Amino acid sequence: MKKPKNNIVEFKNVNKEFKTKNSKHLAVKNATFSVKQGEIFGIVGRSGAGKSTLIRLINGLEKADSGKILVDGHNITNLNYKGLKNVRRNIGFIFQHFNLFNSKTVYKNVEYPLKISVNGVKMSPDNRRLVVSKLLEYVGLEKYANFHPNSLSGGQKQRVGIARALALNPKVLLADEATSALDPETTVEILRLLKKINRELGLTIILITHTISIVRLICQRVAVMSEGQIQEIETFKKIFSDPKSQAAKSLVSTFRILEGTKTIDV
Amino acid sequence: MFNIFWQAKTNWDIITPALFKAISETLYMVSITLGLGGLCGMFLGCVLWSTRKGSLFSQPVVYKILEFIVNLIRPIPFIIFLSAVQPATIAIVGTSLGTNAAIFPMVIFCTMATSRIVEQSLINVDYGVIEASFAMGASRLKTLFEVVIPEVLPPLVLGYAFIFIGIMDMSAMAGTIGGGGLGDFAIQYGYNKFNPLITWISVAIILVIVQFIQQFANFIAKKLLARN
Repeated sequence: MKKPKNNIVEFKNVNKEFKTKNSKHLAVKNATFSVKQGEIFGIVGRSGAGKSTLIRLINGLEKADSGKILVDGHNITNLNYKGLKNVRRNIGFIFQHFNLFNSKTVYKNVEYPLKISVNGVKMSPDNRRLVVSKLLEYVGLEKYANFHPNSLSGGQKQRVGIARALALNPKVLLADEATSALDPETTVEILRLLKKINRELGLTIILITHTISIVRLICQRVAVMSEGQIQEIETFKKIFSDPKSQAAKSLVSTFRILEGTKTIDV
Repeated sequence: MFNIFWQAKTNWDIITPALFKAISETLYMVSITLGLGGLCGMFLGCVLWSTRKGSLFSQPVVYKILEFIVNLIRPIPFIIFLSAVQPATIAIVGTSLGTNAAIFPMVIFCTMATSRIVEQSLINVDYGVIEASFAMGASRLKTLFEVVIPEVLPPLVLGYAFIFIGIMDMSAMAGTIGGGGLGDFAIQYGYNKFNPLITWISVAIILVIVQFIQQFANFIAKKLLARN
């Protein structure tokens, strides 16, 4: 069965449960949605809504209990270890706390994914140098190649994270609360960079956030999530003007309060 | 009543070569033990850490067995362990007397102690960097060798300095099986001859060696920490 070409990520009835000794927690409930090639797709919801689990299912950092997850046509739910490693090379991932390798320089951080061999073949050092310097220039960090991450600001660290995620020329970029640890100005800078990447490289971006204003700035479509379930998927405009689910209504109303267009006493 | 100590005559013509021999024996035992035991301990420590539940290779049963063995051997006083493994020493080294015979149990003990230090250091690595490495399609072994170990290098270096002191301690007991070294020297020429000067000389030399290694390790760890 051939998948329609324009869907880069597809979820079909995906469930994920976390079990501890005495409790079970259904983190993702019956998730069904698809992300189109080249779009910036937002998943918004409160903390604990299951967003992080959902995004981790896409590159197999979490394994689904049931359902189907297609990434670029590969069903990643029944891939073996080797297959999963290969699929992950096509999926960039940036993190809230950057997760840079502190023992390596900025240069070595970005170079690291290029040094991973596929079927015993590794990129030549000359080619690696070329790719890394291009990437550092692209994210505006060419002067920081020999710095260690701990001497960088938060925004710079995330730029390194982005350069590292782009190194393998992925088809999808996943952003897990990528701007939540940054101040508002830096957040906007990083969002601009993501938008530029989407525009210039045609890269599909899936980002999760609890801040609906981020979604408004860069996402074409938004999934609102609460209690492990996707409540509605719409364009930002539609969700903002006519939220249908309780979760969306609550998010929009909180956004208005913070924005100042709705006043309440706190 | 302390007169006995000051009657001892020090014959430097005998003492000086014996001292140099003792120093070289100690350095020999310690460096072989640190090299072999340090390497085996590094390996065992990585296995311990990565087989922990939820870790890279998550093998709780393997972990429990290894942990049990390590915990079983570690609390045995070294001097008793030394005699307990005599048959194994004979089987592997060919003799249970001399410097090389002492090295065998030292390496085993050093492996056990090092494995625990390595495991404890690795536990402190931020899981986020492991996830980042996985997310790029890196294998578990690549993640271990190129991400996890480099990230914990500073505490590892300090851990090895700590181990070094333990090895010096063990090497002093080698004398009991004819292994020589500074411990043996102190007992033979100092303690048994009621000549504390000789004992103090060995103490001073041991202190110098230990301090040198500790300062060196501190220096390296500081260098490594500066970049982290």
